[in-house]
Amino acid sequence: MPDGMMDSSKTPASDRRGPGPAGSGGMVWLVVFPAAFLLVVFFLIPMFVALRYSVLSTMPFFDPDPSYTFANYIRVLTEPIYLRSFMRTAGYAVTASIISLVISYPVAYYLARRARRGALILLVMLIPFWTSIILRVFSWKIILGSSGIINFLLKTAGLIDLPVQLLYNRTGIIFGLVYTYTPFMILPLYATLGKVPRELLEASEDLGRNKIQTLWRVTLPLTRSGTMSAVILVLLACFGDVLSAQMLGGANTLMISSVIFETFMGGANWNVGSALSVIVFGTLLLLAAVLTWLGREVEHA
Amino acid sequence: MPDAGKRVWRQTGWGRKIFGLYVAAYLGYLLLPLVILVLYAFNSSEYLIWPIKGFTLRWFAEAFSDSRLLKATGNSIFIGLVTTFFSTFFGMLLAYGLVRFRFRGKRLLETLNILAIITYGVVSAVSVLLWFHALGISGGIWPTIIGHTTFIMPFAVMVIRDRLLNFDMALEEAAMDLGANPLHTFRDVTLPLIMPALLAAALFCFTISFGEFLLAFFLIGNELTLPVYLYGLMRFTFTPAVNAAATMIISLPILAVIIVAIFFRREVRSLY
Repeated sequence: MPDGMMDSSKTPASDRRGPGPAGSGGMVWLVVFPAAFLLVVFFLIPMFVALRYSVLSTMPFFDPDPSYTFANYIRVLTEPIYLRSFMRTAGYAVTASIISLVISYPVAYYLARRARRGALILLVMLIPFWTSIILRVFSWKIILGSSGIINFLLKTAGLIDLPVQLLYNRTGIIFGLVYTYTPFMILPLYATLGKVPRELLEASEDLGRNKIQTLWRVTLPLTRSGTMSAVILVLLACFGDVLSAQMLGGANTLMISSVIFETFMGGANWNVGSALSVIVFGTLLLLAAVLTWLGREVEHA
Repeated sequence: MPDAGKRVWRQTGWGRKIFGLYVAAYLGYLLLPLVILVLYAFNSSEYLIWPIKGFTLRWFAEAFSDSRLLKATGNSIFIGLVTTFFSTFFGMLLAYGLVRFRFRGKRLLETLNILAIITYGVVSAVSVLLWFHALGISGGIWPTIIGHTTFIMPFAVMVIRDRLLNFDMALEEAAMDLGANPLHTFRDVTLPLIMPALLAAALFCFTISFGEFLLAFFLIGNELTLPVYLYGLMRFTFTPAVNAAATMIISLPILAVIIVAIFFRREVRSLY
């Protein structure tokens, strides 16, 4: 999971530790060259390529001399399907991250503070996330289906007569999002909760506060930045999600990344698709900036 | 962690029980999708309906006789292995450079490395597709390997960097003082010390590459990878052979997790 980077204490450490051979520039570049090449040529440059195509009237392979235009952005901002799916994605992302936070925080708390083998239990919990995302989403499709296990249980319990529609709508997508991005929530929470000094909790209890008060007055404020980071990681992931929307959602629940996916899959207007990509990438960068800022805040605390 | 704060964490029976029960339920919720996939793989009915009926191995036979599935699996394993090799090797070099040296462009590389991880998604995938189009490169196994290596290597960097930050530099310095040149020092001192991190990173990279869908979908061209093939099956036809294939795929990472859990406890911790 990408959460090694959540440990913000590592960045300054690298600067402190690596004072060493400062110069020897050429030699160092020889060492980092392959990785730098990949990151620049296949990550950085493609972003600029998408940026360029987003302001072209057509793809160069249709017309070798296309003109520059903002028409694609205007289209994205004026056609309801794009704007709506963007807003919808934001709504789903927020909903999913709140649900995920509420259900995962107690578990992270338990594992970080109470359990004997918290790290091991966490490892077992995260086994499903080592399998392909496509399998997990597919499994939810089976589980949530009208003849799936949830509907069966509800029916057996006598709560419903007809199957509840849990699939191809918002419910399905939220289920998918919350489940799929659990690691992004629980790993940072576990890390941040593990860092709360025990002495502070003991002090709080010695001063006569009960556990709820301690949680509210000590633990929650101390883990605020870490918690926010976890929420933002889930938001980031939801904005990039394609498969939950594709497999668990329906025609009325399109999410922005799956719109991009279908634009490029179906050979529709790639320039408009590029404009969409640029907008989504901008959103991701914004969220990432907040994430970095939160990381710094943790450091200064 | 266990007994140190007993005084503080002394529990009144019920609260603790309910808490424990909740965590158990949560664990069940996380594992449910895997259990369901496996159960249907052995289910004798051809419909994915609950409750399941009887036991059969028919779907495994069907999966094994699906030549496209086997081809896709072969491709995924090949792509996974090559990606793992390059990601771990280049990732190690970058991590070493970032931790041990100061140089121009270091900030940029660190930023790119992290950004590649946190913005990974459909946007990166289609951008690479556009770039390959512009270069006139059509899809295939090698373009997929390039895409995978670019976006999976940053994970390896994080794991290996953490290990490099946390071992005693004096060991390297001692070797240098005793007259070893940088290359020998790296080979004889640094490499053995970071070996567990390299292996953990490699396992990690293989698992990600093997299950990766988005980049592969856009870059694989007329070939198939396992996730891309399964995606097609799941959308259109719908037999439990998919579950049988899934079951085999699932067992792979579980095996990996067990290996990691046993041999690389420290590196696992560095991931959180």
